[in-house]
Amino acid sequence: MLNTDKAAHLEACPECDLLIDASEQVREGYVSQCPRCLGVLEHPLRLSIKHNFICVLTGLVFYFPAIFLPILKFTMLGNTEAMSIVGCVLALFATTNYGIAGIVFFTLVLVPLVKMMLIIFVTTRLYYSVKTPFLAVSFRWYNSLSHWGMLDIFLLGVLVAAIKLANDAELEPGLGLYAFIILLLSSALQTQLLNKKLLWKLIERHGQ
Amino acid sequence: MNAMGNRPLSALQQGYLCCRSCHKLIPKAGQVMRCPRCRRKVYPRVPYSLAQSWALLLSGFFLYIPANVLPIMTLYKGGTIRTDTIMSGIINLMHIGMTPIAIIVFIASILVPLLKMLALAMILLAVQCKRQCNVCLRTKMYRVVEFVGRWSMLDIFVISILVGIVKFGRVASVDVEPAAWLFACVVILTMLAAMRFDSRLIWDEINEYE
Repeated sequence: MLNTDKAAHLEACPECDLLIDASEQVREGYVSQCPRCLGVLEHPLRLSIKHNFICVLTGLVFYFPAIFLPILKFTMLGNTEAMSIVGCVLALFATTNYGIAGIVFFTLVLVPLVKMMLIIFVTTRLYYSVKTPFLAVSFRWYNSLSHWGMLDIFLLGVLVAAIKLANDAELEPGLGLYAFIILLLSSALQTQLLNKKLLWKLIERHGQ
Repeated sequence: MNAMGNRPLSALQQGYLCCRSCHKLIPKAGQVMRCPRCRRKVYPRVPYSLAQSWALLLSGFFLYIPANVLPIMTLYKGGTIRTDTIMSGIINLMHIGMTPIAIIVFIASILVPLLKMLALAMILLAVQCKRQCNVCLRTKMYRVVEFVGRWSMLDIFVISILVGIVKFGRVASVDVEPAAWLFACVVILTMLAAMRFDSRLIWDEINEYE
């Protein structure tokens, strides 16, 4: 067993469980990798808590237009139909496809919103160093939900659907599409550049 | 003593546990422990990781066959009815001259699920048989499987968008067929299988040898 002085610098690679001396392996401002499995341990490109909060706030502002405003407008034989994400869920529900409706609702409506709420809760509390319960639980939930947000895939789906329909009728992008793209960008930026290590350290200090 | 000597050793063998959700290193003490930082139960390795992964993967695999054979959607347009399976939809996209998009859909909804299940089965089998070669390759494979899994949802979203936008009653409308739901289940099950698998298991045999 190593002495406690050294143990403070120790870290285990989350992917291969190699015990690493962080004081040797992790250098400030460089990408540091696990020497055995080459998994990324630390990346210099990370947002500060403040910038992360700004990112989430942008996402939250554009969330409601992205969900409720029409993403595509479709004109066929003089009739126009507009499609929004909520409209999509309702249409699936009305045609008794409850399973698919549930998946679309969960991955596009619920998960992004809950994720943003959780991270806003965690980052504001940590920024002002308020001692709060449920910080660790919230951040844990945020991490496990992040697999299930599928905004990026939906955008590719819009593209494929638009191409499938392009021959039959006129298609127009709606306001919702622009809002959706901003929501997608801000949420991708925020999720990819979130400094999880720092947040966990701060939670350890201020949480519970 | 240096953690990075000639013999790389796992944290577990040196008496430490790594919390799976917050990656905190905890000295091992007692049987059931909770992470002091995130209050989650800490195990040396995810319990029953291999068995649960196999179960989810196999159920995904068995659903994959009907999901590809049965139709996923029906399009009513001006009196004609067109029922598509995943593959016939892709072929139709190629016929209307959209080969690049057809390739994307083919990769996302046929190639990726199939290769993902094969790769995961290979990884699980290798862990089960305690294989010691190509560990690095298997770790890389696992990373790709984890990253790429969600993109198979593409077809489900395309169908949902079509249902949401093509609603002109008798003139033109889209119906969802059972295979769409099956396919969604395949994607979810394989995603869960990849998540349940503990990637540290790939390296455990190596620790014992060196």
